[in-house]
Amino acid sequence: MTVLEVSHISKAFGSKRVLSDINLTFEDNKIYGLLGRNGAGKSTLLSIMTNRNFADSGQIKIDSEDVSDNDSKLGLMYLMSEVNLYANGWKLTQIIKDSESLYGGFDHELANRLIKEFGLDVNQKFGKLSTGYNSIFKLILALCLPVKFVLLDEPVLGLDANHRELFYSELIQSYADNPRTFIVSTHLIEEVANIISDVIVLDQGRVILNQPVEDVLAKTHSVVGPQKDVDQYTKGLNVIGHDTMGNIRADYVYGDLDDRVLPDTIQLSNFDLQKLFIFLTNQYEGSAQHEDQQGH
Amino acid sequence: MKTNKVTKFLFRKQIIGLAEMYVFLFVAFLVLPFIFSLISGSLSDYSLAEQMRGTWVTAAFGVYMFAISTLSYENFKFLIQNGISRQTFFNSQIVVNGLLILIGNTFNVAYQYLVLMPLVHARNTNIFMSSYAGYFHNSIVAFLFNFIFSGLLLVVGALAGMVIGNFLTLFSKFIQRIILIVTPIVGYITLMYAASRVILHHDFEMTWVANFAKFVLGYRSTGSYDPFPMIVAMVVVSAIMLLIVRYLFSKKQLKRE
Repeated sequence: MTVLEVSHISKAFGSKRVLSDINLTFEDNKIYGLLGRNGAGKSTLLSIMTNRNFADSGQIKIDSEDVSDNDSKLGLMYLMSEVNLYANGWKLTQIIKDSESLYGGFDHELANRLIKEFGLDVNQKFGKLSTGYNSIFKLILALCLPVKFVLLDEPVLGLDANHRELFYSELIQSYADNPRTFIVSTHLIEEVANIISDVIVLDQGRVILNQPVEDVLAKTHSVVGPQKDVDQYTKGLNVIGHDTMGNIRADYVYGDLDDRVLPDTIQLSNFDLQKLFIFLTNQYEGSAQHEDQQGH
Repeated sequence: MKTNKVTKFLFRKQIIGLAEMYVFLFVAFLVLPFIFSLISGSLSDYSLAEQMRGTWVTAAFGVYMFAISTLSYENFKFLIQNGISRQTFFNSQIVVNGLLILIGNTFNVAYQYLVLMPLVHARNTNIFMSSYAGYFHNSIVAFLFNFIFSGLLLVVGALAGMVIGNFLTLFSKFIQRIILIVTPIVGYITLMYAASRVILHHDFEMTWVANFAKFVLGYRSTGSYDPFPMIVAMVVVSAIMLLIVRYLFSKKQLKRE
């Protein structure tokens, strides 16, 4: 079993703290969703994990070995991101060849199929690719290189709806054919909600949620009914958000419900990951701001 | 470690660049003058030997080594994308530069002895031959030291390029521009200040600089030159620059562009 550990990672750019004491463990053969608002620190974290940038403190380990200056461990990861690390003048076929040589393998069969499905012309130069095909090319590399950890930072950037759909289905197929760990960082929560097994929510440089999606969704409860009954029912529960429409109120609870009696006037159901994300990040930011104000 | 794979990758890229440079120079220095002579009707004035008399062939390799040594960020980006560590990149780049210098220096020395000397009857085709060759009484030993000396000059040039280039890659493009603008200005002011002190203040002691330079260059009171102080100095400077380059490589990271 190969485990990728993020241990006490902190990073600041000047006076701005981007990551604060991040601790995470990525296990074998899971698809993680790394979610967070703009500037939450997702890309910085992925960049540090792949040793592109240095952390101020902390360590990244694979199987208890530090990845810094460690080719055998760095070669187990591939980070696809919007940052272009290929020179504009290089031909795609040459990039594939060189990447294959450095990683020691490449799934040509899969690549040829994906190239055909996405309609990518591999005889052109990298700099000539449109934003969408730039992402597609890097996604093909990510899926076809022999790595244990595939890190995808905003993978569908610039892709149209058809290509996004195709990518998600190919990702699942690739995972089924060759199980390995995927870490998908994205804003499009609804699109990845059905494919990820675990969710990590990063907010203001801190991990505020790190659990299997199934467990997370089991803890989400929307309590809908007359305002008075809802208020009474959710008293003492972890209410992370609410909606009001006239006299009808919906309280969104995150956590286990106790064995309190459910009134007939109230409807109980689960809510989705996107809503949870919005409430958690709003709530956290609200409380963080509150803490700051108290500090001052 | 993936040093062999990375070395092959870097070597392929840089040897292609070297071949392209020679093709460009061949066209610029030999073919174009020939075409111009042909067009202008002065073909009788065109002399292949005359065109080759200059030291551009040998100098070009030094300039190329210095230039490519300053450029490393593009390769760093590609290699870090492909899971290659900074240490492996450093090791491979040093091996590749060493190989290129071996090839280029062999070509240069062969060109001097096989083309320049017999074709254009040149005697002093580089610094070594004009100043140090007389130190040796055996021509084979002189030839060997010519090879070592010119190779070391290329090593110093390449490492100087690596120090400059890798130092600059630690900064953003904005800071790089500031450094590139400010450094020559500061250098010029310092030089002018030193020169004015020497000219205006006769008591300003500069003899130690001259003495040190004479010592390093191996100048003797008889007027001849000893190559060994210079060879030792180049080895020491190279070792120091190698350590600096290694440190700079270890600090490379992606810039926020």
